[in-house]
Amino acid sequence: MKYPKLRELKEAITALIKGPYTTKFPAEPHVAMPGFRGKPTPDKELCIACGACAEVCPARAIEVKNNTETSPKTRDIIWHYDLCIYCGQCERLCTTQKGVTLTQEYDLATTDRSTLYSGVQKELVVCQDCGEIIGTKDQLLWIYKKIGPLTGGNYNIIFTAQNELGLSSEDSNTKSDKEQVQRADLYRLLCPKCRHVALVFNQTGKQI
Amino acid sequence: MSENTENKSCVVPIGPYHPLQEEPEFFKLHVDGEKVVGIDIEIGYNHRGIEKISEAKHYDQGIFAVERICGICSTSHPFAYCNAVEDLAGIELPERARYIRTLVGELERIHSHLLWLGLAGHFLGYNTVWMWSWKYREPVLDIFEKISGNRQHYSMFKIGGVRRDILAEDIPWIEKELDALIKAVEMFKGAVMDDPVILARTKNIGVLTAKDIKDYGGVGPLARASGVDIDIRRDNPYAAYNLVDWKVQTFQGGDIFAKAVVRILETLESIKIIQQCLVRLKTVTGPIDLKIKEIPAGEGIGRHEAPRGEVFHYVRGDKTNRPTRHKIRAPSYVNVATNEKAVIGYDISDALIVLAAVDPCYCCTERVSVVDAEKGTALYTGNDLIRLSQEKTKKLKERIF
Repeated sequence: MKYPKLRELKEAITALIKGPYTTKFPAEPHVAMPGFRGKPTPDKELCIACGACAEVCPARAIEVKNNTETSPKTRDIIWHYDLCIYCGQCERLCTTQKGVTLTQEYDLATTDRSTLYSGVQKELVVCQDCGEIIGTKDQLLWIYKKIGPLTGGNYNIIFTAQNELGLSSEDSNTKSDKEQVQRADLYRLLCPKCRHVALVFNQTGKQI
Repeated sequence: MSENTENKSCVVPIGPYHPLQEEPEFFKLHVDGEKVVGIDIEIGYNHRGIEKISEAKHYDQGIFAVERICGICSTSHPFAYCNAVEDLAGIELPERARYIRTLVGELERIHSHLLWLGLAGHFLGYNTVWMWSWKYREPVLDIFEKISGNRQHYSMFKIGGVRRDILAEDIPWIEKELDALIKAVEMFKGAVMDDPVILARTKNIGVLTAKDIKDYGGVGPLARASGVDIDIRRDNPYAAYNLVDWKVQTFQGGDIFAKAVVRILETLESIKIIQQCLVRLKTVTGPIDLKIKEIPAGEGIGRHEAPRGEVFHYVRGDKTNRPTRHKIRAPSYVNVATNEKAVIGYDISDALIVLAAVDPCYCCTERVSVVDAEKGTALYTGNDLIRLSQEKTKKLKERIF
């Protein structure tokens, strides 16, 4: 009977000497382990606002908001931390692999729920005919850098890249005279629908 | 289960509404004086529609949905779900992923059993056991934080492998933590098995015979404590359970004591499995996941021995990226029903520990109140029941020492 108590006494004395196992958290800041899945922080430069993260988010915590009323038209990608489950899917499946990282920050408690978000805003490239969204400027440039010469077939990407490099401007493309050039629309930024109208003719040359 | 309408008996409702915890249940104890004479069990509160949610998610996203079925066994459901989808798609896992999966599953068993041990100690009036057991649970959670990035909801599993590798430089640290844990669990083993008061409180209380277990379909440590030798890890091996050396722990008796001993022995067995996995992880190289392009049409079943028993998942796919049907059966669902056999005939101060021995989430005790059936007035609250249980231990201590 006395023996087992000795064993537990040893544990008790060890606990006395070592002190409490708990940390003095509010007094001493706690540092999470490396690799901790904390607050997802988007990178303002490297995020291209493609919206792939919003597609894969299991909790639908990432909002894609297109501001078509403003000038220039922009797209917001907003991470809502009150809905986020910190699974790391946005980081793992990011198009650029660098757009968002889960930081070690865990202390997100607040009294105002509306402050629990962060996001990036990127300029949109829209169809010059109908105003349909083609993609963000950064996304088209990222594709241009990635596939290089293979972009040859896609005027939207070439034009966005040329604009960025200062080789052409939006004005030079919109001035073309429709009566002189039959397919003036070809050299404009067009959504797939408008491009179909500009490029596809029937046998008599009539647009369909 | 019929209402007990005898005038003499009082009704003790336990539960049900606790929206924060995992398994809200409602126990209505019918008591005659101190003895429990009947019990009504009602489950089904807090229906979250996880099966339907899962049908609206991709296979990859569904893992996060099923992970949130339970906070304590948050890797058991993804484990069974991945097994089911891999069964459906006919995927063979890479060896390294098998070891990592086994390791995560067993770490979870350790922390779940230590959590139960602490709660059982608290209900018995051994708050020191409670504090110590939860203290030694912390290193396990620290290991989780290191290898998966979170203390709960590890997000380690994906279809065809795991999301994160275990780094070679972390392995010595994990081994060191586990060695310290073995000593602590051995200490608990001695403390539970030798202590006369714990023996008096738990021996021959809440007895479930092997026949009861088979009648009610009980699973997990509950069944193994009654001498029913079932374990999915051995009976139908998956992951790396057939590649490591371990034994199924069973115990005779079926009382609370047997359930505690089985859980403690299982904890030691889990540490043994993890140590073997870590040794293999040092040498086994290769990919940790496969690139799964498409899930074919068909159906698959997946099972996993969760800390509380067998988890069962059924998935049917139609070649799209979402399942058309996803059925889940969790172990507590069958285990809770065994309370009908276990609790009747014992004192109301024992009822608490008998109900807790099943290891459901015991959030519901906070909502306990004892109501006089005739007058409708409250006799006890939840804290009173815990106090009753703890006072009984105190009385026993005075008598024994």
